[in-house]
Amino acid sequence: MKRYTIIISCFFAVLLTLSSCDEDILNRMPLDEMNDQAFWTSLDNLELYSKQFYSNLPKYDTYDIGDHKDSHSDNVYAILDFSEILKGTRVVPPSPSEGGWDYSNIRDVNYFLDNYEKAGLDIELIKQQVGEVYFFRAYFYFNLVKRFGDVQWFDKVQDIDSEGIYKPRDPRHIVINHVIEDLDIAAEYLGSGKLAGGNQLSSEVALLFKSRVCLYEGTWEKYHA
Amino acid sequence: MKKIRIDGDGRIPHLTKLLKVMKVTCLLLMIALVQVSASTYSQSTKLTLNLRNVALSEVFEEIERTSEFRFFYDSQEIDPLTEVSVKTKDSNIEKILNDVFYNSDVIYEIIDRYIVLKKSGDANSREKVFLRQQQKSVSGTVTDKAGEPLPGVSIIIKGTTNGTVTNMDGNYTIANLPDGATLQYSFVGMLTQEITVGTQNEINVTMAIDAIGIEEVVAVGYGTQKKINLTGAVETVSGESIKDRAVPNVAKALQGAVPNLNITVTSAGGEPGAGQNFNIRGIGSLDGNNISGSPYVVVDGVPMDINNVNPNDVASITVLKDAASSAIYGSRAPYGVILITTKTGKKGAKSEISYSTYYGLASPINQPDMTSSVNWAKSANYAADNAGASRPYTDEQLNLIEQYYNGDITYELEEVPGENKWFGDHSNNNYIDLYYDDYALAQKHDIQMSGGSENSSYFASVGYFDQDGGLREGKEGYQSYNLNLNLTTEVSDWMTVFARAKYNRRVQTYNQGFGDYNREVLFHSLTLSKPTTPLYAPDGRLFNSRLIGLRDGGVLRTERNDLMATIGGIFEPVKGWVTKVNYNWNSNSYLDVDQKRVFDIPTPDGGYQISTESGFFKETLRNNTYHMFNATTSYLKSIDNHNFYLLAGYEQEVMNLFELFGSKKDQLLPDYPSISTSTGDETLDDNISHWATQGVFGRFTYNFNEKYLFEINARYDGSSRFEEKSRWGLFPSAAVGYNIHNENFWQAIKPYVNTIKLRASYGSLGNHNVANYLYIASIPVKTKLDWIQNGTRPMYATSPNLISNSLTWETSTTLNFGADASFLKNRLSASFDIWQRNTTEMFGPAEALPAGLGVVPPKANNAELETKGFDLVVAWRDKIGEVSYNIRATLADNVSTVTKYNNPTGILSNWYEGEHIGDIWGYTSEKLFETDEEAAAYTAEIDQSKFYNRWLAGDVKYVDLDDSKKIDNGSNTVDDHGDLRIIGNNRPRYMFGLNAGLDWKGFDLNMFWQGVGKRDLYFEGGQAGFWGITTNFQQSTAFKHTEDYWTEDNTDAYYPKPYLSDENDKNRQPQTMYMRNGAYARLKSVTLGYTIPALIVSKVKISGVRIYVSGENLLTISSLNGIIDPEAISGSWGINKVYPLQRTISIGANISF
Repeated sequence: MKRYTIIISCFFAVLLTLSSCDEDILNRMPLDEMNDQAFWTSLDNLELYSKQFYSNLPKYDTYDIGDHKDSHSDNVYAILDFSEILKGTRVVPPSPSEGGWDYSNIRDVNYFLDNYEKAGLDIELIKQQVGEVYFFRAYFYFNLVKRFGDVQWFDKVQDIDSEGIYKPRDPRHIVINHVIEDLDIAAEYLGSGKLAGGNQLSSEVALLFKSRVCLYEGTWEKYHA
Repeated sequence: MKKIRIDGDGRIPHLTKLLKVMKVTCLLLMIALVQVSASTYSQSTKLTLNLRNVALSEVFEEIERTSEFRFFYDSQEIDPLTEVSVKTKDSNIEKILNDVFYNSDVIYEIIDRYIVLKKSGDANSREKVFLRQQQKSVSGTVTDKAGEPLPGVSIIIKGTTNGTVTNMDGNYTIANLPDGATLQYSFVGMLTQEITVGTQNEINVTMAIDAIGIEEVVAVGYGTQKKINLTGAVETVSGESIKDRAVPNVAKALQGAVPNLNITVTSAGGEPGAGQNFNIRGIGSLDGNNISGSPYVVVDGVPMDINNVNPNDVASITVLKDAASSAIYGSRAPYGVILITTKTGKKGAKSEISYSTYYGLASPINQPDMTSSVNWAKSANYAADNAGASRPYTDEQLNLIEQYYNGDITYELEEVPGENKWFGDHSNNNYIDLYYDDYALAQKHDIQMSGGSENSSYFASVGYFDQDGGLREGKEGYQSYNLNLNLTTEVSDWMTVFARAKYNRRVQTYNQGFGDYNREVLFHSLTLSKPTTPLYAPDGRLFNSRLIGLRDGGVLRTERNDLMATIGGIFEPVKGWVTKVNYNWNSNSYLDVDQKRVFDIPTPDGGYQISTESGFFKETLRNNTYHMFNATTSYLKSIDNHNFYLLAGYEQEVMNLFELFGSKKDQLLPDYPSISTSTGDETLDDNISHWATQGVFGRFTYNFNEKYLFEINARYDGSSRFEEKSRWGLFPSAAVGYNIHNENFWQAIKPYVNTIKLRASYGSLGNHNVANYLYIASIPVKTKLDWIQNGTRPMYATSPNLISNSLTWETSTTLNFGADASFLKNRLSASFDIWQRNTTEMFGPAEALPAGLGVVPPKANNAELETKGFDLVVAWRDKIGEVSYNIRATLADNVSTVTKYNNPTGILSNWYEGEHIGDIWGYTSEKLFETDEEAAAYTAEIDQSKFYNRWLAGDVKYVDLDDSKKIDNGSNTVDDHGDLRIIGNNRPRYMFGLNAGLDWKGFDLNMFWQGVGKRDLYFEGGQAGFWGITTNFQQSTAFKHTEDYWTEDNTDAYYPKPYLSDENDKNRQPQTMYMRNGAYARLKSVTLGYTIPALIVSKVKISGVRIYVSGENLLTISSLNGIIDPEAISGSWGINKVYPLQRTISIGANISF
């Protein structure tokens, strides 16, 4: 009988040892990506996040230079056919990737603005990063207004069950007012170009861009509104 | 071998009876020997004896020692102490016996290796018989459980070597019994019985099947089960049937052997070392990785890559097809299980070493034939003319092409006078032939050792396989090395411990394409080769950049090392209660060394140009470490006719995946590449992840007298891949079976229908095979932003994907009905299953949400798929005289239908509800217009302008099915599809396999066919591999099969008029005229073997030798022959752009010592 006792106890001992230390075995967090919760902790991380938007600025790119940018205008003589936008036949495509409604940049900037305060860092330390993101929100919304006119204004990240995503488009002047507000914050937070270093946004850039927005929108208000 | 004397009434038994006297072990051995070489033995054996005045028994012993002859005689009849002398040299047995028994009344009979001695019938002898009849004797009949008489049961008086065997009617008589004798009844595969004779004169015995009979038990999840008691859809394949074929991996040996275990060629085609796609019963899920429905492969209880298994090590393979039989694996096995058991040693068995090998020559099959330069140039120019485009070949060039073709000129390149330019596009090269070698060598060597002592057993094997690549200038190849070790020892009568180690190394070398392209593009490029391209430069150097690229370009070498170690114990303190504990550790590492080289391409003037600006060198190191622990405890108990079995178990797995890679451009030493010796731009990155599972499971089976069968399995599984609240799933199953042949009322039918069983099962399984961390929002960190700041491209982070907070398991639920039966003395057997599998909670696209969300909504568990099908196996085995033969046929089918999918508009470009997977939507085409007038008249009435606005003779006439006077696809949705109809289905249907074998006097012949009964194929308009000319010159090619295109001289053509412009596609819309039949039957293997008689080989201390010749892929019956291989249709770049499969002729040998 002794051997049965040994076996039984061994078997259950093994099971118990395993199950007792097993509380966490199935909790597996990613190892080579930052967890969303753990990300908003340091200046470096905020800087990593805000950097991503720079690639949206105009730059040398096969389809963004020269003729291509002008191809939607009457500056260009079409070799094959006029662009749909120029002809006025363009229908907004259903998917963002084909040039339809795309709020993904808006979500990305709002994601930062919703979360950066979690780091609990002194605003003086992170002004450059926060200012950059405000600048980019203004930049992205200005592009949306230029393309679509009235657009939904979001200053928070939207979720699947958010009511906000079903709201009607906000009138463009409301959106542009927000854009100007954002640029004012950006101009306040961003350092001067002399201090900001190479190829970084500065308060001067924010003000420059604000002037462009105001000119563009003012023109529209004057001639179309 | 012990000497057995026959007691009896003087009647000399028939040979078979004699055999049966022997103990079971002897019997088995002898049967083997008898089969190995038949009656020639007595003639061919020469003996030399020199014995003077010795006892007769000594002569017998001497003969038995030096030969395989064995003597049988009645010591009361023939006195073994009779003194004799014998002196012979190289005489056969008859001469020796004639000498020995000269002048005596003993006569003999030689039956193969057995010599029966008896007295010629004199009065004396009869008297003895009479006397003996006074002694105690017993007779009776031995039957099996069903009441069938059992011939050949050996009956031995316990404690002696005296005995007899039952005759053809199962009757026996045994005489000369001492007082208080006990009789032992034994028969292969039956439980040995002992009966004390006492005063009985007649003893009738019913033999019961031994639970550990070889054929009767099959491996199932976490245990074994008697085949007769199985209630699930389970198919087994023995290692024997694999061993005799010259195949490098298990997949090739299994293809077609098990119905609805579908093994297909991947996009790597016949590349050396290419794996195969596996699925059991068709498509399991529409979600990414799971679409193939890959089964869970478990080798000796541990999940493993099936390509790491050496086919020679396989003892048996069990395929668990329905949910009931795989439910015990829970979320790991949603689409079935392949259980592989490797060979082990046997306790107490003598050590045995065997060596097997084969050498094979592989040559590519079913390659399309390239056309001649003249035909190609004509077709390209014709297509350009039709399109109104400029001709690719000028008249001058055409002239040169014809001259070269006719042999009037022989130079491939010509210098343009005074311009230092070279001109040449008029050659006539058959590049398909030039790219591939006629033969590539493959070889395999295996050594196996096994044996055992009283308490321990061992099995060890090493294997080596080497295959050369088939590309003529290529540097590809594949080697695999296998080591397998199984050790078991019985520590005490209740405890057994075992250790297993498996090591596998696979080294694959590929050509690494040209320039910046990877190797997949290689075949794209080869297929599009034009015959007019020059092969050699004027100075004789190889000029064709593709061939130079193969010869001098880079290679990608992948080394895979897989080391697996298992230790465990089996404890059985009380009979029937078995506890198994198992720990496995597996380290699976990969090293990819990827080099793209700069190579020189000769220029016609004798110089060089370089292939690409910079080379590239990348090393990737992956190491996956896997731990698995499981423990099961089971109890088997029979009370009267009630048989119970209960199993409970626990299992946990942890997998850690690690990958590190770095690369640099510009190698200083291309012949000895390394990162250290490269100077250019560098990248460095890693991937680290992990997952874990935990599960408890149980099985309960009950049967009443093996008549009514009942089984429940359940597993409660947790996976780290799901969020805590949806992490655990319960996967239950139940099955019932009914062995009708065990009913009393069946006994009348039993001689014809020997066994019949009905089965039904139902169960569900989860699918753990999804990506890691789907429920965790994580922020990826990336390098090299497309923006420069302070002189560098900074690192950056991006936003997390939107995660679903309710994502959970996909569940597959299977309902299975099956029947197994055998007929006509078990010669004919059949097994049939019909089933339905529903995949529910399948991952599908979420409901569309407003764009303001700004992100793609996460996948949801909102799709469903239904798959139905059947599996059938019919087998026949019999023996006619000395020829034993067998035929086994399998047939299977499956059809999947989408029953729920989020596609509200029903657009045909996505899955929609009611879609049969594989459906091809297309137009109905009637013919090619014969004249321009006909085309004009028809298109005036029916508008075909959707495809193009010009319709002429040789173009396709589409049929207006919806009477809209317009050929179109409506809104391309299910409800409005215009003239589109479902014109075919590209899923293989009615997959079949046919295996036939016969054995005759040591020869064995086996052939194996495999195929698909129905399949429709449509090749898209841009696929040059089928159509030849496409919309542009670069992407066009011409094969012999594409020459039959419409011209004014060939109005009865197969292909429509070609256009070398976008206009081409108007004739290549998916349509009925160009649907092709993808059905095929392929002679996968033919093997002819000969087992050399043991007598001959035993002289050199070898116990068995089989030599064979084998051919793989010898014959293909298909309407696509010469166009496309029906198995390897396309590579990742399209039709025909794939490494060709090969026909392999091998010679091989299996030698055991």
